[in-house]
Amino acid sequence: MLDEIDRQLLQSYQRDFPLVHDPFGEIGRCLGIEEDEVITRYQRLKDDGYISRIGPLLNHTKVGVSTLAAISVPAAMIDSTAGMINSYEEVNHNYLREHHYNFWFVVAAKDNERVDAVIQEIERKSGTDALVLPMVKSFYIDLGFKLWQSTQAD
Amino acid sequence: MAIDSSRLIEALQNGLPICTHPYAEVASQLGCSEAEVISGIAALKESALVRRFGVVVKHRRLGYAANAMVVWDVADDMIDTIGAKLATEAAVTLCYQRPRKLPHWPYNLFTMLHGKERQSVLQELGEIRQRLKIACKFDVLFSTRCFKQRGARYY
Repeated sequence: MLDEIDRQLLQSYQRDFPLVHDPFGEIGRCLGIEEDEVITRYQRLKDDGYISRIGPLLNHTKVGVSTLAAISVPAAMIDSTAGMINSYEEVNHNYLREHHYNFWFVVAAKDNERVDAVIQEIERKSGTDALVLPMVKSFYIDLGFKLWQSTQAD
Repeated sequence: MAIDSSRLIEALQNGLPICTHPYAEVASQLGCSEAEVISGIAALKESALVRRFGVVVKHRRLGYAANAMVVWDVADDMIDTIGAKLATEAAVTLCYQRPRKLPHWPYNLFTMLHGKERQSVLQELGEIRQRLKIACKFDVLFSTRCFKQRGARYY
């Protein structure tokens, strides 16, 4: 289970991870624990699947090209379709949702041609037309994911 | 000398190594200095190429299992107003305008709502609609399985 230090490691360093020679040491100094413990805990949080990575979250309106897309697939084909869509390196999100359009995925690549080609291949392999829904405008400002809202002061 | 931003992004996309001097390790991979990596990341954050730099959590694993894409059919002349309001709601974690695809898809505003369970998400949604006085047509698409969730690779 997660303790209070784990929660701080997850909550407090989503936005401004220290940009210093020893970032884990810096976090340890802030939390009053040893650098080794910070490193061990982050490695465990990663191994246990609580974090996907420590790194940049790209603003995909400025870097490369990406789009949300959806297709409608019969229930019997869900597993094979999931594998087919996942096999594309350009696909970074792939969710099953409760709707006639049940597969929702994001395709990202360096240019439109590659994005279109991946979507066309997925359409051909699934035998269905995709809804292609590129972002027109973002209203959202990313402050990180707020966990434990009731217990956190910030 | 400033390092190339696309090479730096590429080197960071699988995540910073979890070790004592992670920036030095990225630097040796890129053949530049640690100081250049650190100033390069700071520059990326300033440039708006990067929304944030830090821990990327998996909310599903953290107990936020109910993840609903809530889509709205907003009148075109109201979308800036409603989009801006929805974006400031604490439970809303994304808020984008996307094109309608009539007749199959009438919705033009996409938001993501996260919660520990389905009922709490629906309740929050009800409160948001009431508070912001949003009367337009909407739909709620709960996710039932996550097959893939990671950072984008553009290169």
